[in-house]
Amino acid sequence: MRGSRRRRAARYVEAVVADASAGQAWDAWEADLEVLGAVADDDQARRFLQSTSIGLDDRLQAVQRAAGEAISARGLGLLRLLAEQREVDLTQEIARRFRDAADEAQSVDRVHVTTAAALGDAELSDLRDSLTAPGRTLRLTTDIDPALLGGFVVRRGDDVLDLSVHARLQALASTLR
Amino acid sequence: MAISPQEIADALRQQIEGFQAQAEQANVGHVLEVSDGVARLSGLSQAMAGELLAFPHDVTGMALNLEEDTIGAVILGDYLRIEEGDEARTTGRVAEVPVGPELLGRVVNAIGEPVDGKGPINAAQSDVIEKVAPGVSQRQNVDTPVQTGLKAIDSMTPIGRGQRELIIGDRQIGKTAIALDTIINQRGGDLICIYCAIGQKESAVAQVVATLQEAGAMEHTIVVLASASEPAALQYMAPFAACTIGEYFRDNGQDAVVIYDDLTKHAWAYRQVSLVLRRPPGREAYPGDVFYLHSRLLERAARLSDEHGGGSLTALPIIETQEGDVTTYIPTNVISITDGQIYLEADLFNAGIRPAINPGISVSRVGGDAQIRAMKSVSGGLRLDLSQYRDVAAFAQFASDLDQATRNQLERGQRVTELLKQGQYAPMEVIDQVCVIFAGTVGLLDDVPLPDVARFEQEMLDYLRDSHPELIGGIRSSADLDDDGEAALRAAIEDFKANVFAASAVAAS
Repeated sequence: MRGSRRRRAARYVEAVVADASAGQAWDAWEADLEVLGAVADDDQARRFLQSTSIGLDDRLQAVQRAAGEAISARGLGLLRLLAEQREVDLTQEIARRFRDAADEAQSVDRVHVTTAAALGDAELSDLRDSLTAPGRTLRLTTDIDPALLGGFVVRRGDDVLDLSVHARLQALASTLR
Repeated sequence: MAISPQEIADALRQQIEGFQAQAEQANVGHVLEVSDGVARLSGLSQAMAGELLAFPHDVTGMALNLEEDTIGAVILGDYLRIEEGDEARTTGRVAEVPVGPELLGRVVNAIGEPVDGKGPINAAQSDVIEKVAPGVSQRQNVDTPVQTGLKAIDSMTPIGRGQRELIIGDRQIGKTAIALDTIINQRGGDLICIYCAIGQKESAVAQVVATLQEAGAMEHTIVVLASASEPAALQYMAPFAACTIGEYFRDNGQDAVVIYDDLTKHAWAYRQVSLVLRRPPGREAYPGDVFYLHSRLLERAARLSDEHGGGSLTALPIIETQEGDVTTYIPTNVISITDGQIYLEADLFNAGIRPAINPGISVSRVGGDAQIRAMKSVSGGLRLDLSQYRDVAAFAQFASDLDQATRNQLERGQRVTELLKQGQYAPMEVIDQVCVIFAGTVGLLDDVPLPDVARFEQEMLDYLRDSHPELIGGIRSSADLDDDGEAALRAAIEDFKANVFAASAVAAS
């Protein structure tokens, strides 16, 4: 028993965060982990990395050739360590946790807004202004869901502020029941 | 009654006009897995322990396990409708039930929804089901009796208002019957009864409700039902809901009694919930906090001090044993929590002694404080007679010739035992009990043939009521039986024996 997934991943995240904050390399690490996460997300690629019949160097070289410029030596180093320790399955967990840690270290708020219709530039900048907390950077992503009928839904982490017409109609429906 | 479409439209319009949409801010999470009525969720970082969670399809859950990354929640509804990836959100509420006098006469489930088909319950208030018991300074002595109407209980193991008295015994020997007799005996009284059925067959509960209705006892009774077919989580919540419903009356200066039928099945339900939540199993696979589960429930029974209204909540938990074994985990736990136990025995039941109470090991730690003085003065002799009878009865089986004193003790014990028998759903008023037990303990029954004891009892009470109403009235008003009263009662009963009972015996022959 090697401890829970979370604990195992936490050790790698701690090391990556230490390295990133020492060299102020948050963005570079984030890009690397995104690629690594995508590689590990692919079943075939993950099985290849976990295979024991192919030498470790050969496996890593294959990844390097496939990813090309997209992955740095640093990222490959982490992948080598994970493959050596047979913990490739932790890659996505590490990427996710690193992103949370990086956001926290750089005072970044990731907010996702879902609207019923596409937003105009003026509306978007209004939204941006009202969502930005003092001293923090906002990273806003948006998507469109016509099922909301009107209004919008704001998500930040686990917190959701539902200002959609759909939610209000549902609340009305439940009071009438 | 005809309802016009216009009325419906008006009602709807009123509701819509009164509706205020509020921006819904919630903490959300996603279902990772669902199994056996339990969901594991990611996210929900702000959820409180015990908070209600809203799942899709109007299903509710309750957060029980808060871990670093995930939450374990029990589903209080149809868990089969929930799928992996479903979104769940916090509601900011903990589990609540409606409380108040509106519930009287109704049958509700563990979350206070009516299940008797008599329409909605428009209770003005609701309250959380998990509350902390009143502290020492808020309580006072238990000194007022709960009259169960059963001679064997009211005389030897009296129950006080605010007490916790366990009813324990094997299946099918009259545990629920004692509870029902107690409820029926409160007709026209000031004691509100709550009957909480946990993990029972719906048919059994339907029968209980029908019995109470027939006896006219439903008006002062609330039935809280979590039947065997309901999720274990609801069975786990039901007694806490019943307790909260009872506490409303307690906190408003009234007296209430809540019957938990039974806590064995409650412990089973909690064991199931705990095991599927992957909490570590302990003895008999119950989780480590099963003692606390019952102790915190039963601690809420209390007699409040006069500054706090002087109300009371009495708890009558029921425990079912297997083959009379009280040394298993749950029975020993609940015995140690409660203020005494009424122990029912299968052997006595089969020997025709009903209620099948074993007076030797049944105790009430509140005891005589919760008896009227008249009962206290006659019941002392009763205990003595019965314990002497038990002592000599075992020897008498082997001895061939017994001395007169021993024979007398045997005769007395047999008659007193006969006297304590009582039919089901036939509670007896406490004054009548006093007269009957008095007759037995002073030896007025010693020369009545054993098969005639029941008839003697009935006819004596009729005679006293008809010919000596001043005697009965005197005991009732003073609640005491002083020397003069005793002498008068003895004279009246002797008169009955000499003139009335003998005559009827001749007439019968």
